[in-house]
Amino acid sequence: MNWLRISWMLYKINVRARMQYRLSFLLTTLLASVVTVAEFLGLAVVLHAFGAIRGWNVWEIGYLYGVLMTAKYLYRGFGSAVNNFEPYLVNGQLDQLLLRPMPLLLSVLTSRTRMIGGELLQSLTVLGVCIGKLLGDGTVGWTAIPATLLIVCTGTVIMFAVGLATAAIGFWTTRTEDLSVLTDNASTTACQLPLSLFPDWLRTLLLAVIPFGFINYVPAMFIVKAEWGWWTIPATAAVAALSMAAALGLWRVGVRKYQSTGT
Amino acid sequence: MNAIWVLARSAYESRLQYTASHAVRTVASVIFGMIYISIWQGIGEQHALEGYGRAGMVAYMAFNQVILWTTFTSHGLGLEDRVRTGQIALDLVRPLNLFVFAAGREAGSIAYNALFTALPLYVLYTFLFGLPVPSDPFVWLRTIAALVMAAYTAICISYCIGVTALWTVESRWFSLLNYSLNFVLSGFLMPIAWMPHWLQAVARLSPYPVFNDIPTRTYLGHAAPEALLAPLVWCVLLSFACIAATSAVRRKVEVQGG
Repeated sequence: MNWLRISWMLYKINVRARMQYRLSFLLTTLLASVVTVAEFLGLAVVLHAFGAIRGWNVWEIGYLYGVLMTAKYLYRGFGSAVNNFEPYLVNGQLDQLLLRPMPLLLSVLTSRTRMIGGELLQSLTVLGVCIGKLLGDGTVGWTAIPATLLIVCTGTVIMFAVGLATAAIGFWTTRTEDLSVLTDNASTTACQLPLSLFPDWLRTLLLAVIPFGFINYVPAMFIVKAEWGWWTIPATAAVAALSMAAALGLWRVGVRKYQSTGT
Repeated sequence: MNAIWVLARSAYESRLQYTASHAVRTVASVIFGMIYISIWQGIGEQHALEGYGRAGMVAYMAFNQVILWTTFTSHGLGLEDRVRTGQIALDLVRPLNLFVFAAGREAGSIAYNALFTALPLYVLYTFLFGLPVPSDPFVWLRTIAALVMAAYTAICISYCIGVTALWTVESRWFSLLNYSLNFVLSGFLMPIAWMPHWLQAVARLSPYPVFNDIPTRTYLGHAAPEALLAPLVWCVLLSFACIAATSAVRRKVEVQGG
């Protein structure tokens, strides 16, 4: 409990430090709310012109997008340091954190904060509007709301686990930025769409190697499409738990292997 | 001119040092291409895709993914970091215009992207997706002209974003805003002519079609030679904007640290 209190205090200090640059903070918040929705807007324009892609309409794809991006920004809110871990290894910043009398992962997580209010507002708006529409036309029932809240939580855990595993690989490779383009950016872009669109190898990659497919597509096949059974929800939770355990294991091994760059 | 060449060559050579990370990025780029092409393969199963057809739209998306790398610039041409470290003061002392300095370095980086990412992707997509290869040399000439103007436009916009760091300290969000507008308005996801009328009007008033819609339609033979007038006008307008921004920077600069 003590660690949590200290972590919360460090987090608040980071937030206050961020807000010192007022113009930058205001612009960041304002522009963030515009930027995040643009990718979905691009896709919405395509869907507006052609109706649906392989049976998925704009609201159903919006649901996939909303769940994925909400999980992403929740993760980025507290895991910004893990998401951009390379400077800690390249510049030797991790050496300072190793000296702190608290668990290393908590030290890393509380060493940097990212304000995600604008992005989260946008992804929640898309998610809320799409659920509202799907409820309105009877595609989903009210049970979709608690199920969606649950998969946003498991999705955040999966996002964090993949981010942590990518960061941990940096203990061997030092540089992780390009790897995270693969494990984070490319996977996120792919999972904004139904996985059924993609060739088998890409679908397998997104279900078995980088399990982002379990953030939204797998549970949505039950919650939205009702094509798969209720088992998708516990399966999603199990994948989240396994991913987290594997990532923490890799992190622990990596920390033991860590050699400072000396800078 | 010699200074630009030296700066471009040094940026090109420094990019050559990171071959492993470059390989990972190329793999990521292939996956990104697959994602966007899959959208149109899916839509093409149910719709005629007037003027293009399914194969034509796959070619449109594939070529867009290839040329993306020739307009891919670093955030604010690296000026934000130079403002933060105070390096910008030394840059302004150089006997070289700040815009020429930043643009020269970026040109080398773009040349590297064109040679080591765009070209391999082009060859790969030609085999994977049957990307057509024009036989008319004038199509090639016009495509290259469109791509050169697109790269220059991208450099100018990034420069304007980079210099805002002198006022806001952090200009990363302008880059993301630029990326988002580019994604929606450039014709990256679909030809601009298929967009709703109001969005077409917004897109055509912006410089973004210069990046994808115009070069790709030129390459695929869907654009008339006059289509190159718009990029030309934007190159001239943005050059003036960059000159004006540089002049403003000289009066504004204050060293943050060092």
